[in-house]
Amino acid sequence: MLAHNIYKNSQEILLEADDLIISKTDTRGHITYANRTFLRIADYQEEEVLNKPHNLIRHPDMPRGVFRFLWQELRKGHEFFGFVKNYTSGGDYYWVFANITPDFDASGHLKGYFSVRRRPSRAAIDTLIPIYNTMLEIESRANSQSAADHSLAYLVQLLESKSVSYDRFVMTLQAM
Amino acid sequence: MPIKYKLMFGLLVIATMFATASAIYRDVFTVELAVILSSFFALFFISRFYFKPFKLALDQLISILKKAKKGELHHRITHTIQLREVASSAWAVNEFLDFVETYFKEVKLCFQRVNQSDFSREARGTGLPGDFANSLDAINNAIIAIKDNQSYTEQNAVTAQLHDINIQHLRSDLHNSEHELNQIQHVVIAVDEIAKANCTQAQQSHLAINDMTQAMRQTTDNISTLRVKTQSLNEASASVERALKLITDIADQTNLLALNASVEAARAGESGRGFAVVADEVKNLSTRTKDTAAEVGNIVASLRKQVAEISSCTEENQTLGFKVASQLDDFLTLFSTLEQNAEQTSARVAEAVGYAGSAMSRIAHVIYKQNIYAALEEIIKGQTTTVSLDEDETNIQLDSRYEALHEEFSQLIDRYLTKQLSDADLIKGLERLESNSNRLMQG
Repeated sequence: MLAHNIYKNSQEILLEADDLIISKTDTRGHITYANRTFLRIADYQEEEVLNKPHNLIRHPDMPRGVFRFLWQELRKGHEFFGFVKNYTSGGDYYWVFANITPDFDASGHLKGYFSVRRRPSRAAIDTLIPIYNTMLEIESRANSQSAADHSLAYLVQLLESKSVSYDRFVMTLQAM
Repeated sequence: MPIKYKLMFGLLVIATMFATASAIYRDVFTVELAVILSSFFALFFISRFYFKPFKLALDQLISILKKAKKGELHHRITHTIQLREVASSAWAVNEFLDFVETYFKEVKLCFQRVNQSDFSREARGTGLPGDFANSLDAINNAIIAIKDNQSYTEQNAVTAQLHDINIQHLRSDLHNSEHELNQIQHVVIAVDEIAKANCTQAQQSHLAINDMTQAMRQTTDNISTLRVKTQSLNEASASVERALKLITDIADQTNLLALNASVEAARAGESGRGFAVVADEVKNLSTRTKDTAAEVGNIVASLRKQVAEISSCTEENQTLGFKVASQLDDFLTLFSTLEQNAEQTSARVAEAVGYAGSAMSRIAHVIYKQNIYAALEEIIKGQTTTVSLDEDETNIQLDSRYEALHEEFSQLIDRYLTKQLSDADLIKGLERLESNSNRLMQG
């Protein structure tokens, strides 16, 4: 991918306070809708993202353990809150405070996922970066199959040692 | 595009082709007609090409708005590049739907948690415009209110339980206090009886001591008389001794006379012989007289010794008598004080009995009120009440003022139970009676 080549000159794109990035995917995680804020910040044309997997914008600095947790929550029918670093098409990056929810039709069948991303608290990002780095380190030491489980186990243990739930943890960070 | 328009277009095209064909056939096909027809066709195809995106956009907009009208907010217009100039309208609709859908999702998700008593997930209005964000703020405030309300309700439940426990124990405690007070009153009454008995006994003792003092006084008087009498006896003894001395002297002189007579008789010789016998007899008589006087003297001396002993005894008795009399006086004062003390004790005990009685009335009154509240609470909770409303459980004879107040309580409750009073009236009535009760209990 092109992005990797220019990774070194990667610049951070900052969201505005009232920026609201919205995207929808089908049940397989393929993008079915992206709003103009998404397209503007991630620097894509609509046709470039439609029907593409959402991990199109996934940044290598994001631990896989976080996404493992995300999918665990969504499969349980829960919403997910989290701080996520994303790639733009040009190899820049932007941090978001994401809220992803499963979408069900009237008869209760899963029909896809709805994701709203807002400007994250800077203090939250500063707190999370070392945690994510530790998770990445754990993942780099483990074999690729169990990497996400290992780094997620670390995160779970960390939260347990602070006696705080994941949700309460991220909400508190966002409120900082 | 609806089918009827397509049919009309089709008919128009067929009619035009038919008209053209018939014009050619009849050889009336002129250049003008060809121009008109070709412009017509040109216009038709150009307009179809030009208006296609509009039509496409319009079709999608209408379709999406219809779905939104049915409550399906998740549809969007995609592939907007095809819509060209109309794309921005499509995006405007998309973004509006984004706001609406995000808004509803936020509301739904935070209330899902609220339903599980999790108040930590607030609705996020960030990024939503105007009324959307304001409404979410209002919802967050409402959630805080629900949370407060829930904790208030929980607190209430706890305080209600505490209240229940307290009331249950308060009533039994009051009953115990009442029982104890009753016992105290019995004891105090017993003490009163003892105090009264003491008083009577002290009075009786007082009288007895009085009698004893009287008797003692008599006795000492008698002893005084006895002393005087003994004195005169002593003096009489001295007179007797003097008389005896005189008798002894006379006997001695008689003896001497008899001796002289004997001598004279001897001198006279025979003629004096008879006289000498008389002189001997007189001498014997004087000796016997002297002996008898000595004997009487001995008796009198013994008598005097005994009189002296009696005198010293009497003197001792008199001293003792004075001492006893003075002690009896002390006793008299003592019993008089005892009597006064007993009277005071009795008065104080009577006061204590009065206090205990009024305290019992108050406690009985408090128990009565507690029963009323307990019964009301059970009735309001829809339980059948186990508490008696009308009867005082206690056997205490109540002050008439308390009885009147209880009657007022009873009437108020009756009127409430027969729905003549609202809840608010009941509370107001209870507050009024409680303030009367307060005055009564303080006064």
